[in-house]
Amino acid sequence: MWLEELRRRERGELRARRFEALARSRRAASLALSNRKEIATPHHGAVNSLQVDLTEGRYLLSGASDGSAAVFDLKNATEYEAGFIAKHRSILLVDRQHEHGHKFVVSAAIWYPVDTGLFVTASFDTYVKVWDTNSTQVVMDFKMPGKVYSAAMSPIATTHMLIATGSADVQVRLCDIASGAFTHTLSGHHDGIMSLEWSTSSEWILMSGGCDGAIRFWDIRRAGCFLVLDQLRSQQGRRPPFLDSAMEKQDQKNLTSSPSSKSNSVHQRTGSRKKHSKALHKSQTLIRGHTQQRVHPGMSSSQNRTTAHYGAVTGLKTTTDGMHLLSSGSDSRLRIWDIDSGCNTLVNFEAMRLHPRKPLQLAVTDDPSLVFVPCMGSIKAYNMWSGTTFQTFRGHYDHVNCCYYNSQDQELYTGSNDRQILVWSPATPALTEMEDDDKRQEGFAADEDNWSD
Amino acid sequence: MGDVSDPLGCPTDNGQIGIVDPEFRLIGLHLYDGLFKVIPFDNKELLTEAFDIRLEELQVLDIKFLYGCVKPTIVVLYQDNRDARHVKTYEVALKDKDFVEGPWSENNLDNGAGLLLPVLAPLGGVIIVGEETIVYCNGNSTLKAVPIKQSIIRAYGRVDPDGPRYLLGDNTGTLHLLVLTQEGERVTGLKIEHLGETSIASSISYLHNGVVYVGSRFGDSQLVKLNLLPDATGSFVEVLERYANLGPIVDFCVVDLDRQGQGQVVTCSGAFKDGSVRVVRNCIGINEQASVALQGISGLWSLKSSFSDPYDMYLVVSFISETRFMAMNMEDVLEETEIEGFDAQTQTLFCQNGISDLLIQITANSVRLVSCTSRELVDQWNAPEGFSVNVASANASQVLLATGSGHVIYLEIRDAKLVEVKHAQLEHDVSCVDLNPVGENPQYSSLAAIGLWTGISVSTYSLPDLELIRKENLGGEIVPRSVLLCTLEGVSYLLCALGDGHLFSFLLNASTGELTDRKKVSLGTQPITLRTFSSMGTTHVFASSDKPTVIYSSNKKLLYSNVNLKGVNHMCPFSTAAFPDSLAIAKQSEFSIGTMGDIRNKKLRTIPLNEQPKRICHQEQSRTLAVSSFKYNLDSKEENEAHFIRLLDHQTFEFLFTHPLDQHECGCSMISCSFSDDNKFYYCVGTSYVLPDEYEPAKGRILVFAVEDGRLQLIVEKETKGAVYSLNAFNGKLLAAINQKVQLYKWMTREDGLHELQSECSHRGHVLALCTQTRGDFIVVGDLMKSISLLVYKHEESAIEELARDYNANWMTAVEMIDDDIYLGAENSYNLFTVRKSSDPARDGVRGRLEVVGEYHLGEYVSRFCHGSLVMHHPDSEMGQILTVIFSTTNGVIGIIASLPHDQYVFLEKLQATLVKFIKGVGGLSHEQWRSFHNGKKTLDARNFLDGDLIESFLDLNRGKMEEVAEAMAVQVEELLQRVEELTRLH
Repeated sequence: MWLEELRRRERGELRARRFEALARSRRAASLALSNRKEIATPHHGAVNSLQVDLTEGRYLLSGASDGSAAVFDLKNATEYEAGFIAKHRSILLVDRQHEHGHKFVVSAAIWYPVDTGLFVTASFDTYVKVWDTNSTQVVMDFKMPGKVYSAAMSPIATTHMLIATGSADVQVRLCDIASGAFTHTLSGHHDGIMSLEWSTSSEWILMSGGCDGAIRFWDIRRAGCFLVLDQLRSQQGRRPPFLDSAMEKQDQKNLTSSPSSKSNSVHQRTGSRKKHSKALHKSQTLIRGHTQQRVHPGMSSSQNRTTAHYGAVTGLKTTTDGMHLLSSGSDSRLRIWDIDSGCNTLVNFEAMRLHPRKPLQLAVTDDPSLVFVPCMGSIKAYNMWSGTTFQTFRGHYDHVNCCYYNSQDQELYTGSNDRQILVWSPATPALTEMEDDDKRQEGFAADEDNWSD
Repeated sequence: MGDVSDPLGCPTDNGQIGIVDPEFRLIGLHLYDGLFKVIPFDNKELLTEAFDIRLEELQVLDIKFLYGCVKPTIVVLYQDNRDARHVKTYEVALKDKDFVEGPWSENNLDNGAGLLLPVLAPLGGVIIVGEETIVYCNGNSTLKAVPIKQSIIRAYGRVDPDGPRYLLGDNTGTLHLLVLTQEGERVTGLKIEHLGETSIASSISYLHNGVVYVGSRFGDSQLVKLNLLPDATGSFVEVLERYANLGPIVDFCVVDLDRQGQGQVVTCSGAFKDGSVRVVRNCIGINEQASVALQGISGLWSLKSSFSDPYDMYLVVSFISETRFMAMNMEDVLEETEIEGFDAQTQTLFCQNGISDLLIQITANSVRLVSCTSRELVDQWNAPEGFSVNVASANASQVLLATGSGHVIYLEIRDAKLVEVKHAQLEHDVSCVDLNPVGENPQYSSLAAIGLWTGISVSTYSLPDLELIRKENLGGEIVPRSVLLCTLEGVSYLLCALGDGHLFSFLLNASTGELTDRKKVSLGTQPITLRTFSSMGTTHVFASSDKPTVIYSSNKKLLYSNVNLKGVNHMCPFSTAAFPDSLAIAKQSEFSIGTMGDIRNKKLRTIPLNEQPKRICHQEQSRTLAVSSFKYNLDSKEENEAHFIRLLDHQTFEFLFTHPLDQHECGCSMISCSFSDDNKFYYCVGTSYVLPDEYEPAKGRILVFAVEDGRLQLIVEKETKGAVYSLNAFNGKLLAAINQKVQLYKWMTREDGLHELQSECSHRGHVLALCTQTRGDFIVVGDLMKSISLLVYKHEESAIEELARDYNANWMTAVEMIDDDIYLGAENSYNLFTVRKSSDPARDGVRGRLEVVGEYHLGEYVSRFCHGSLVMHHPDSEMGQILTVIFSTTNGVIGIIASLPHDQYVFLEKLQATLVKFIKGVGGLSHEQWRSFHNGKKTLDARNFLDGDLIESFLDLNRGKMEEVAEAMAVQVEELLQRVEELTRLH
């Protein structure tokens, strides 16, 4: 009940922040196919990637299988259908007709995080291109060794302008917009890289999910990956009871010299906690870096074969607070990882069927309470902590590839093989009734019926 | 000093927790979900580098340190994914920078458990306070529980420094005592005892000797005494003192009851049972120092013991048939005395110290001169046979008398003798006279002011020849009852007060007697008596009436300020050596002596409601206030609320009428307005039906009431499809914000003479149109989460269209239009911002953008904006041109936002920037950082807003600092002082 909460906020019983969080989560919980907003896609192929710009939260960028990428203004509709259904047409389109357009599938289209002046597209034609939004010209391109599956830029980077790219090749490559060259190649995966995600708490940390089932954590300031997630390692017993802890420490001392996975994990646990305290923990990080190198120089140890999923890792998504990582795999599993410790949280998500061979773009609400997962032809929303299905969104006619949750407006955008981008917005139950006094009711109701199911 | 903020963290839902280890080993902070920040103390008790520990419990309700533990141990109360609540303990391993699983944990507690009370050593352990039970637990023995009446305990206080007694305050304002019964070092049980009622406690501090301070967010804070024995009602609590708290102010209106141009803020304050309506006004406080019951005083004068004495000695108190004299004796005690030469058997009309150490007494039939030293009669003038003196006035050397039939007699004191200088007959009877010297000679006036009974006029006459200089007809039928010539700040005025509480003021040319610049204000409803007095070296005028007022001059402008007294009949200054600047005040049945407080001060009046007011609105035409309020019904099993619309008298605040709303219906908005083609004024109330299982209200009503014979008469009722969040009068129509849309209603008169509201047009597309304001054809809408948008009503098409909007994602709490182009908004993260309508009209089909021009962090949740002012403005004064907006906040703050002219802004901005270097904030926090617009997503420097409090703190600096500031500013100290003082006059 809005009213009650407004009233509680007014008298200071409900903290303003909390009110906001409540309102957001309530609206997120009421998402339904929007009867107010439509996005008219100019794409002639499956929509593979969706992202809203991070600065204004206003422009939606989409990438599609016909090699095109488009931008939509979410705040200003191009026209109104029947007077009140806002239609958003693309305000910018780069497709195969464009002189520098991609030849094949655009697998990822991402905004430059700092402003809307640039965006990046990655394509199966092995190119990653950086576009100037205003002139719609390619300002830079990077040739990859294979089909590019994913591209990612750090949303919090202040000292680098790197595009992380994952392709059919086993290496993650970092392309530097500032210099126009590759700065890093991160080796470790045994197969192509389907998904990439930068950490939201440290601009140096990159996470990659490969077709080999591994999720690797990279600190781009030093060589090698520092963590490989293990689906079998859970949080149980992470904090031993007081009496046992002394013994544990004894164990550790004995084990530090031997490069066993056990001691390694202990080091990681203490070390990776530095992310929230920036400078003061640098020294600690460095020390850890050394031990890391010694303990785990090449990827030859047993950890090298550790997997996060059986089969390929198809999607990665960190929560906004940077504490948890979500991953989806071709084993039709969704896992939540505690980034700090690298443990599998063992949240058991209800049965789902995921597309096994395509990168999936997952979405999480801000709080984080809900996870949106493209499950073949529908999108499922799961309760993040219990793993139960919260809602199933049906509306697409074909496989869904990507979801993007706009936390500013609490809207979900989904792109599918049916070439549509659908908008799911918080339902307004009173709305339908409110229409009564206008005569637009009929046409509008008909519309709604068309969409559901 | 360090910064513990984390831009990425997700701020905790249940508030920040900061705790200190009882053995001072570390400080623990829970600021963000999943993180516990530790700031350890080193051996020198200094803070060392902080670090974070991961807390796996996400929904933490409370964390406390346990007493008597070898290692620092915290106990965490948390809720899991299935909404069950548990406690868990952790030891903080400072070396490992991690937690170690603690000695015990307890699962599945009371579902309402929300508070932890750590128990001191040697008992140790923790008391877990739930909604239905209170549990003691310490891990090594069984739980001890005690059931309580369902309530939410919000606050606790430990009674003994070491013992097992705790005070608990719940959400209904009940105070409980919790006692741990113990056997040695073992707790054997819990006992709870009901003590009594206080304000709804937010914090409880046991002070000493049974005295407890109860701090409250919802009502007045209190100092209470816990008695050993219950009183008649069974309560152990005795309230010793109350400390006013206006918060939370959910709504207010600015009313100008006296039409003086000085607003009073009437607020909806408090919550739950502590709800009240409060009246805040600028008025002068008089501290009564002594008072006696004394009835029938008809006049008061003070006399000095000699003409040159700076202090007063005698006090002359006149009654209808006698006059009594009092004097300060050597012990500074006022006692009755006699002045032999004075006539004590009749009523005194006037008394005055005259030149050559004389005392003048004027009675109905004589004027007496008495020597100050011998107190004996020196000279006497008797009224002619058949005439008696009706009104009289005198100064040090002149006496002016008026007898019946318009006879006026002018006497002068020459060589201690009364000499009749002039006798004149005016056309009507005289109602009041004054010859207070306003010219250069303080002992001799060349002007007299005379008011007449018939003809209703006030005139100035020249002295000694009693020639008419200027006559001002006052109009109306009310007789002038008091006239006064005075000089305030070097400007001479003639003030003339009428029998109905109105006051005329004229600028007086002291040499020619010309009157100019006539103004009329209302000070009360009863006859006024004017008297000058001086306080702190400056002269002011006191207007005694049912609403006593002090008239003072500031910057050569007359200002009026109310006094916190009621019904003063007479007043005279009585400044003695022991009590300088005192005033003697005669009320209906009381005589008192007091001192005047600071001329600028806010006074507060509380009208307790015992229920929570939600909206308030004033209707001048019917002289009423309407309040929408509600009451929690705690008696019945189900928790329900009853909502009312109550009508109050705007002067007495008496309840006149109550209109109950339907079940589940709650009042959301209220205005007073009139409609086109109908000159009556109505109260319009917007309501909503709140059903427990409804996510968003789907039904509401607009109720239109007329006030008839002190009753609310329901004229029109219109059902709406949602909650009516806001109502505005708009072009003679009614604009309502209903859920997602803004709807305009026309006022229609049907054939049968009844009225109805007919919907005309609407505009949709808001998430929730929470607040609306209108000006001309423009409407600004403050959306729940989509900032401000500007709509325009098009008359020809009878449609509302969106012109422009602010694309930021501001969660609005209040909005106001400062002028046609600038709109002010308050948002959820306690920031203020202004947006400007762009000058070029929106291009066809493309919506414009409202440009954000100002941003500022206020640090307060603004519940409402309203145009108005708490000080009296005169339209001609420079400050009168400055628009001010009053705002109220949840913390009980009332503040003023003034829109300053550009050059003044530039000057004050420079001053602010300079002052920041001289005035350090509490804890050395940066002013700039604090005032930056911050909403969790972004931080922007404050711009186009100034911090008036900071600038005015310039006045508190010592002279040396002021000079330094002035030097840094490269201006004179005097100029700075003047400009800052100018600013203070805005509030």
